[in-house]
Amino acid sequence: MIERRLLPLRALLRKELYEIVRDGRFRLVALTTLALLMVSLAFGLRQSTAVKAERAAAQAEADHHFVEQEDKNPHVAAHYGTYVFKPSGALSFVDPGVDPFVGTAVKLEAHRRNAAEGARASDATSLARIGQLSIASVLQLLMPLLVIGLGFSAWTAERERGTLRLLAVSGVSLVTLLTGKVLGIAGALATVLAPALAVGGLVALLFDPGLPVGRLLALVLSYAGYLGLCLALTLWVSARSSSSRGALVTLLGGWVLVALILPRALAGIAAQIAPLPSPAMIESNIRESLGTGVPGGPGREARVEAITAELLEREGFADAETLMDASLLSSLELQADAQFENEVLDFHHRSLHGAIARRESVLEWLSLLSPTLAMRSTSAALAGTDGAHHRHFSEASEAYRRSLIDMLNRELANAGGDDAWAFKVGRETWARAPRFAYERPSLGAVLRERAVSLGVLATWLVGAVALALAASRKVRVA
Amino acid sequence: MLAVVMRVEWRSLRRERSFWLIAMALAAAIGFAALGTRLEIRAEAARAALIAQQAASHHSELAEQAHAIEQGAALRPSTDPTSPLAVGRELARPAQLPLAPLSPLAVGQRDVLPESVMLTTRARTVHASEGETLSPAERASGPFDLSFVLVFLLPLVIIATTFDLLSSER
Repeated sequence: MIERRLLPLRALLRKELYEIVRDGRFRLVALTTLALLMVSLAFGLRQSTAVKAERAAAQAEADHHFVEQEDKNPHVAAHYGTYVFKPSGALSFVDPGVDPFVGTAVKLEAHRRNAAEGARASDATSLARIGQLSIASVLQLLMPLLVIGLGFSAWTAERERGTLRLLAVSGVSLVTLLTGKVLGIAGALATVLAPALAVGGLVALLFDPGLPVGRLLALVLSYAGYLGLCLALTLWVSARSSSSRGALVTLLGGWVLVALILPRALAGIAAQIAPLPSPAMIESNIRESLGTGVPGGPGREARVEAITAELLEREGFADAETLMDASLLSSLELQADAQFENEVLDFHHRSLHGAIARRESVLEWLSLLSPTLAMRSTSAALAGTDGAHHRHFSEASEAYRRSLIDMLNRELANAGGDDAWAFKVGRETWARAPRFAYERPSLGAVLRERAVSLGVLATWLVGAVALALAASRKVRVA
Repeated sequence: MLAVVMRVEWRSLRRERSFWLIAMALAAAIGFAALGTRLEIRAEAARAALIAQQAASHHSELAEQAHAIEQGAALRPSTDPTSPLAVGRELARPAQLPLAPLSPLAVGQRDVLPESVMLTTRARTVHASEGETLSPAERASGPFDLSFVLVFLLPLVIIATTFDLLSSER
């Protein structure tokens, strides 16, 4: 029974595939797209491997430099500081995301929270703004054009040739006809994507056995949904159009609007709705607060005195500073200063992160108008190359900075005795310092962070399929 | 003869509804780009003025503290205003990159590179953080400015209005 119902579908599928493959233009476009995917995969893997090796070497060099530094006072070493380097995104060879536009190295030192330095874009020419060839850019921008090329005349060409009327009177339902077209076009797309996915996955695993397979699968599913909604919208427009030419012009106009214009325009609108302070302004505000205290809070001197009193009480020297070792007293004063500075930094960075979160939320909701924008956001998040991953690394590096400075101040407190600033330590102490070990956010955390973008894609997919189904039921057959 | 052909083509073009739709869309894009760039330039000027004002205020404050300490006041500010070394390291003077005359036409790399640098006696590399961008996703998208409209959208408009000029006659 099921076999008989599937017969017309199999026949339709064969017919669709035969028509597509027979079209010389498809062979040319498919080969070109496959070549682009392979080239962008090769470039992406090469770049990602080189960056990974470069940063690992830089981190090893910085760690070696810290351990091998000369004997000095622990707090002087805290001022001397060290560097940490941001590892490249988990799947940066697929989607470089915002990595070219953010810094990669953070200077860790006492009394300062530095931003990441060394963004690749700041050394690049203006040509870099045109865009980077990557697997993500091919899938987000060029694959929808291939889908449009394959599907714009799915209904209109049948009507213009007169075959749609014949199919309709043969008893095949229009929904079955739609299903056949979907499977046929999807099959044709699979001839391009499947080899790229298979080769890409294998080569990537060879380069990096620790590749996060979960993120890769989520990425594949997201792109499948994105191309699926492109296909559904194409078939909807084809069913509603009176001619193939009209369908093509409408679809290309839609692609220009959704993929080219709206991502930039919506980013500009989000910037106006939720403006951010400049880095120079933030630094200026922090500098002012370090002198006068957190806005709305006690002044610097009062707060540092209060913290010092708490620390003295904790060490059992409340109101008995004169009985303390000079090193212990100096260390407590440094710890009080550091704690006050951390309060100021936390205040301003909380405020800044709130502003960034508002801007990103506005942009995510605006992406309801452009599935390409939602796909871009989702792709970068799953590849580990979005702004949220960069901020996660920034917070991790700051937490490490505080633990390192704390360890060095405690070394002064515990072993300095009466020597205070004359006290020096050497390699044994530097080697005991904690090492920076960064762990990326989990897949679950990433999916929760990007829930709105995923919801937008799902909404577009469901809506597009509903529209395609509704249009196929009412399509004009003659 | 050329004038006649131009008149005929213009008459057939203006009868197409799609031509007017495309023209309106292009005009809207130009207007949006011009407005967005103007707002961004205004915001940049406001940021520069605020930074200059804060620097001047910080300078006055340090000068007052130095004078008070020299007069014998028992002040203990975080930066010793009587120490040239301390003041040189902490008192930052802003250096603002002025806007070029045709800045409204293209944002270029202005959104990627620092618009101002706070100068102290510390080495330049210490201030590399001025280049840190807070909205990297927008930098990755690129700005919607007049150069984007002229370089990317205008050719598409020309293609859309002229792709069948000869083939439709045939």
